[in-house]
Amino acid sequence: MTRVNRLFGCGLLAAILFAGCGGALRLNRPLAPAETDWLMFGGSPARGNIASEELPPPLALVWEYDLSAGVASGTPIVADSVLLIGDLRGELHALSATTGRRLGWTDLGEAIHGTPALERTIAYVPLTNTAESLVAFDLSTGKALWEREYGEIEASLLLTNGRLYFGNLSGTFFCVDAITGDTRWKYSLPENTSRKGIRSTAISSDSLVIFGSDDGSVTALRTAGGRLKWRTETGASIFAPLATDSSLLIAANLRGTVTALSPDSGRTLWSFEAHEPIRGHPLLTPELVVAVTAGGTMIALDRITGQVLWSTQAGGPLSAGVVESGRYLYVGTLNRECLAVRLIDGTVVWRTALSGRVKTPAVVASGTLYLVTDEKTLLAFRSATP
Amino acid sequence: MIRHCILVLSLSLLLPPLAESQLFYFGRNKVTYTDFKWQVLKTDHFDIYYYPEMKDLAERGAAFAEDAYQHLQAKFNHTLGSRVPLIFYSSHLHFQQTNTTGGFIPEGVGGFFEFMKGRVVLPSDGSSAQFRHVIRHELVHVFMHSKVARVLSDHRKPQDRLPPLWFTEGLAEYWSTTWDTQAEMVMRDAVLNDIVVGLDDMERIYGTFLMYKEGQAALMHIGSHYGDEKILLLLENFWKSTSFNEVLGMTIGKDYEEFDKEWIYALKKQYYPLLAEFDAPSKASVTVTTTGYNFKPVVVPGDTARSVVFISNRTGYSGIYRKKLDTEEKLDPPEELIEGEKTDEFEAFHPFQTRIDISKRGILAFVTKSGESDALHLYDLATKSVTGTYQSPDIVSVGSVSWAPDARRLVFTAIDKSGNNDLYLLDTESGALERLTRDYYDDRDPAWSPLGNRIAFSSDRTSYGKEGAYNLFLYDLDTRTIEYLTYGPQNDKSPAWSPDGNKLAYTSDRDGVQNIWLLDFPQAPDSSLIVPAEPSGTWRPTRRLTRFVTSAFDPAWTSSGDLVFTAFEKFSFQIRMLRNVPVIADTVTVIRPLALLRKDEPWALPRLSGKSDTQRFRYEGEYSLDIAQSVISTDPVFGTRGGAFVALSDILGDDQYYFLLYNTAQTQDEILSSFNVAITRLSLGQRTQFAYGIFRFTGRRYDLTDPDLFYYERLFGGYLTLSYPLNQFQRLETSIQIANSSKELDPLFEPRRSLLISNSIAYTHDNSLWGPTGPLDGTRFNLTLAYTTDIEYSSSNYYSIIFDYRKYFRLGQRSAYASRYWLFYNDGTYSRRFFMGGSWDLRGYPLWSIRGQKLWLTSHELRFPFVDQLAVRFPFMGLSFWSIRGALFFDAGGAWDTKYRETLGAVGFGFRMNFGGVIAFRYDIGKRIEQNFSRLQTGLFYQFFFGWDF
Repeated sequence: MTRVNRLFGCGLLAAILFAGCGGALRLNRPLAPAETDWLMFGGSPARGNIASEELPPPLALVWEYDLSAGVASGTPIVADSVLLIGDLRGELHALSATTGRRLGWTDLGEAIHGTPALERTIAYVPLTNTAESLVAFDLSTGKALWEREYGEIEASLLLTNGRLYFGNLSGTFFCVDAITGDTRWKYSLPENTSRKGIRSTAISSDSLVIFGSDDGSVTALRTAGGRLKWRTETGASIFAPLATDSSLLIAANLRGTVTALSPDSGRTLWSFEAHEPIRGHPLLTPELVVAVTAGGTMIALDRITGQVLWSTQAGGPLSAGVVESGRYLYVGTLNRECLAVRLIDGTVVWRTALSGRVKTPAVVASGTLYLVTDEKTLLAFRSATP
Repeated sequence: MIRHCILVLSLSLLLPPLAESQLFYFGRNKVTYTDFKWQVLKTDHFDIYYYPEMKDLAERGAAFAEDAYQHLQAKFNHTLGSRVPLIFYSSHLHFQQTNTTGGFIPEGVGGFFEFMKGRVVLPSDGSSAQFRHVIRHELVHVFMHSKVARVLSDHRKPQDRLPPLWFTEGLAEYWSTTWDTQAEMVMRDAVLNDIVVGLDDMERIYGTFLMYKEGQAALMHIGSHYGDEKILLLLENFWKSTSFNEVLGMTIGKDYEEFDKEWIYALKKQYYPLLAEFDAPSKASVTVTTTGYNFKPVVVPGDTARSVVFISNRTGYSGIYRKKLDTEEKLDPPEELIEGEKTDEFEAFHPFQTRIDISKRGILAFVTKSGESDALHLYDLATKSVTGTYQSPDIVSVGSVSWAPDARRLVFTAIDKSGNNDLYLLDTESGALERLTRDYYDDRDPAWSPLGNRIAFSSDRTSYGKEGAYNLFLYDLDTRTIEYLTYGPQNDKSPAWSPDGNKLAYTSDRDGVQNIWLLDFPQAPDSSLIVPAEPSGTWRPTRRLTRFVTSAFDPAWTSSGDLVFTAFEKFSFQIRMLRNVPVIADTVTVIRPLALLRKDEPWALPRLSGKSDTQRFRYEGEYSLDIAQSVISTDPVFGTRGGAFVALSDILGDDQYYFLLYNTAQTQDEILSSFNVAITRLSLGQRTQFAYGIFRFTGRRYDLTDPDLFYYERLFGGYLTLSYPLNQFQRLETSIQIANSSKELDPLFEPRRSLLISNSIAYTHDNSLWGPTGPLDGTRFNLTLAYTTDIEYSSSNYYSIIFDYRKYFRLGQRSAYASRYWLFYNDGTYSRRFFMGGSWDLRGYPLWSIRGQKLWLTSHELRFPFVDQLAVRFPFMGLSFWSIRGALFFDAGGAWDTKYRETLGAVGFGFRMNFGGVIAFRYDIGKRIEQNFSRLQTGLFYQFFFGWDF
C-alpha cells in the first residue's frame, strides 16, 4: 500500500469515526434584522418581552424541531427569518424560522444556559462550566470571531450600543466590547463569600445598566465606566431577569417579593409578597406588572400602586415569565401546557397540551410563537384563525 | 427470605435434580400471612394501592400526597413525568409482608422508594403527622430522582449516577419535615461527644440514622448561610462533575473540606454552650446498664433487691432482661428472661414502641410480633414461665401495656386493620377485650393510675396534634370521659405514675429535647385521685426533673421514689437511674405552667380537594418490566452462546415471570435445534407460595455430579414447587419435576435416554443471627428426602437424603463456636454424585474435587473478631476495611460411591472480611489431614475464596 493510499485510508477512517460528531453553521446569506425581530432575551433592550405584534389565540402547531439536548433559561432569537437557539449540550442551532428546517448547527463545547444576542451576522453566546465562556460567532463564515474567559455565565446577554453586559457566577459584572471581546469595565459585587453569583439578566435604563444577583441585591451601574449608581436589597436571591422602562424598575426574588424601584435612585416605590418563589421574569407594561410564581399563580399588579388587579391559576408551576402579544399573554407551565391569558383580566382564553415542561419564556416574532419544552423540542405555533 | 429461597429452588430445579440444591436452602421466610384485597385509588398524580379496611387512611394519604406534590413541584421547579404508584399498608407488620422488595424490612424502616418501578411503599404507624412526613419524605426521593435524570438528560450526560446518600436522605428530611426533637437529640449527642463527621468523611457513618440527620443539618446550614436556592442548584449543577465534592464547590464556593470546617465549627458554637445549662445523662444520673441498646425499663414491684426488667438487644437478638438496680453490670450481669427473635412465639420485639409492665403479682406483660400480628404475653417472674398469650383477629400491632391496680386488667394501645391506634382494655382472666377509644387520633403509652379507674395516656388529639404534637390525657373509666392533662405544641409522652399515685412523671421536649417532667396529683382524703387544676382553671404547673443535653425516655418509678429511665448518649440507649426524685423535684426544677385555657377543637382529617379527580377500582395486576438483559459469552470449551433474560412482575411484586432464552449453536445448521428456553412463574401473594415453569435445554455439558465427562444433552420438561412457611424460621417445601433427557455420552453409542420424575419434600429451619461474615448464633437445619425415577427407560432409579445441621454457640458479643454436620446420601441405579472440597466445606482441597454418591462432613470453627477497622490514607483518598474476622477451623469428611474410601480432614486458621455488605472474602491457611487421617500435609495450604461462613 502506498503512502497516499494509507493516508487516504486513515482519512476515510477518521471521516467515518467522526461523522456526525461536529456540525457546521454557516448561513448562505447576510442577515438583515428588522425592528420587529427578537434579537436577545426580551426581544431588544427596550422591549422587555413585549412582542411588536398581536398573535391572537387559538394557535396551531406548525412545526417542531428536535434539539436533542435540553435548554435552561435561554430563549430562541429570531432575525430575518432565521432562528437561533443554544442548548445545554453547547450546540447552537440555526433554523428557518418559517419552516423549522435546520440551516446548520455548531458545537461550542459547553452548555449554553442563557439567551445569545445577535447583531447583524454575529451571534454572541454565553457558556457555562468552561473557561472561554463568551463566544462571538460569525454566522456568515461559520467561525468564532473571538472567545474570551469571563467565568461561568448562566445569564442571558444584554447587547446595546456595541457593548455586551452580563454577570457571571462568581459575582462579577462585565461590560465587553462586542467587536473585540475586550473588557471595557467590570464590577465585582461586594465581598460576598456565601451568595455570589449573577444569574439575572441585566437590563438597561437610560445611562444605567441594572441587574439582580444571588445575594438579593439590585445593582445599578453607569454604562460609562461601570461606577456604582445605587444598590438596594430585596431580601432574597434574584434569579429572574428584571424589567424596566424609564420610570419603573421591577425585581422579583425567590421569596416571592415583587419590588418596584425607581430606576434613577433605587428607591423602593412599592412591594408585593406573592409568598411563592418567582423564577420567571416579570413583565412591565404601561398599565401593569405581571409576575408568575413557582406555585403556578399569575398575578397582575397595578404599576403605580402594586395592588393586585387580577390573579390567575395556571394549573401548574410557572418557571418562565410571560410574553405579551397585543391583548394576550402567553406562558408555558411545568405541567406541560401553553396558555393564552387575556391581559386585561387574566382570563385563560386558550390552552394546549405540550409534550414537555416549559422553563423558558415564549418568543413571538414574525407571526409565530416559539416555545421550547424540556422534551428537547422547539415548537412553533401560529394563529389558527385566518 | 422465602422469595429468594423459592426462586433459587425453582431455578435449581432447572439443573439436574438434587445435586446443586446442596448449595442453597437456608434463609428465613418472608411470610405473606394476610390476604390483602387490593384496591386502587387514582388521584391527579398518584395511583394509590390500599386494602378496603384502610380506606379512610388511604384517602388521608392521598390528600397528603397531593399536598406534598404541590409543595415539592415548587421546591424542585419540576413536575413528574408519570403517575407515582403509592402502596400503603395500615401497619408496619403488614408492610413487612410486602413483596415489592425481596428483603426483610427492619422495624426502623418507615417506607421506601423503589426506583425500578418508581414505587413508593410505606405503612402508617398510627400517627397521621408521621404518615404525612413519610409520604413527603419518599416523594422528595421521587422528585429528586426525576430531577437528576432530567438534568443529566438535558445535558446529554449518561444517567448513571445519583447524589451521595447523605444528600439524598438529608434532602428528603430537610424538605419533608422540620428540625424535630429527635434530630436535635442526635446532633447534640454527635457534636458534644465528638462523634460528628464531616461530609468529607461520611462513609464512616454510611447508612446510619446519624448520617440522615447530619445530611439534613448540613443542608440546613447551606440553606441558612448560602440560600435555600443553593440546594436546588446542587441538583441543577449535578451534570457539571461526576464528583459531588466538585459540584458543591461550584455551587457554594466551598468543597467538602472547606465546608466541613465551617459547618462543624458552627455546630460547636451552637451546641457547646448548652453544657452550661444541661448535663450529659452519664454525669447526672446513676448507671444501670452499659451494654447494647436498652429500652423500656419497669421496676419489679415488691422486690427488696430492687431490680429492673427491660428490653435489650445486648446479644444481637432482642430479649427481656432483669437486672439489679444497685449493682454494676460487669459484676452482676443481667439475667435473660425472654429470648426473642428465635421462635415464632417471640418473633420480634418493638423496643422503640412498646412499654412493658409488671403487675403487683409479679406478672410481666410484654408484646412481641408473633406470626401475622402482635401478641400480648404474660410471664410469671416467680416461676419464669409464660402464663398467657393474647391475640385478637381485629388487632394487628400492639403498643405499650399497663396493668390495673387489680393485677387482672390491662390497658394497652393497638393498631387495627384500619391503621388507627387506640386504647384497649383486656381482662386477663376472662379474656374480654374492650375498645376504649375509636378514632383516628394516635393514642400511646397508657399508664393506669394506682389509685383507681383512671388511665393517663399520650395522644395527638389536641389541635396541635395535626402537626405531630402529643399531649397527655386522662381517661376516666367510670365516666368514659377524656380530660386534658397538658396542652401545647410540644411532645408529652410516656406518663408513669408514682407508686402512691401522687405524681406523674413523663417526658416532654418543651425545652428542645426529651427530658423528664413531673405533674403533681394531690390526693383526696378518701385516697382518690384529684386532677390538679389551678384556681383559674387555665393552667397547671409542671416541674422539670432532668436537664439532660440529649434525651431521656420511658421513666418508671421504684418503690422508694427513684426513677429509672432510658437515656440517649454516645449514640447508645442505656438504662439509668435518678435517685431521690421527690427531693430533686422540690429543689432544682423549673416550674412551667401548662396553658389549658385555649382548647381548640381537635383536628379533623384532611380530605382530597374537590378538584382532584379520583377513581377507585379493584386491583387486577399491572405488570411491567423489571429487568431485560442480553448476554453473549465465548468459552474455549463450550463455544459461543448468546441469549437474553427478561423478568416481569406486577406492581405489588406478588406475581413474577422470568423468561430465559439463549442459543448454544456452534454451526449455522444447529441454530434451530440449539435454542434453550425457560419460563418460570413465581407467585408470592399468598402464604403457600409456588413456582412452576417449563424448560428446554440443549448443548454441551460438563456435569460436576457425573463422571468427568463432556456430553451433549437435550433436556425438556416442567416443574412445580410449593413452599409453605410455618413461620419466619421454618418451612416445608415440596416439588415435582418431569424431565425428558437425551445424553450423548459417546458419539459411537446411542444416546442415553431417560424420562425422569423427581419428587422431593424438605423441611428447613433457620433462626441464625449473623455477624459481618457469617452466623454467630442460632441453628440451621435442613432435611430433604427425594426420589428420582426413570418412568420410561428405567435407566435411573434412586432415592436421596440430605441432612444438614448447623449450630452456633455464642461465646461473646462477637465470637462464636460453629459446628456443621452433613450427610448427603444417594442410593439406587445411576444415582448422581455430591461434591465437596474448597473454602466452603472441606478446606485445603481443590474446589469440588471430592465426589461421591454418599458424602459426610463435619466442620468446627471458632469465630472471633480480629480487626474492626483497617484504614489506609493515601494522599488523594482514604480506604477503610471493616469487620475483619478471624477463624480457627477443623474439618473432616469423606465421599464414596459404593465402598467407603477414606476420611479426609483439614485444620488451620483464616481471616474473613466483609466487603461492602454484599460479599465476604476468605483467606485460609492450614494443613490437610491426609491418608485416612493418618498424616498431616507437608507444608501449608493457602486458600483464597469468597463467600459467607457456614
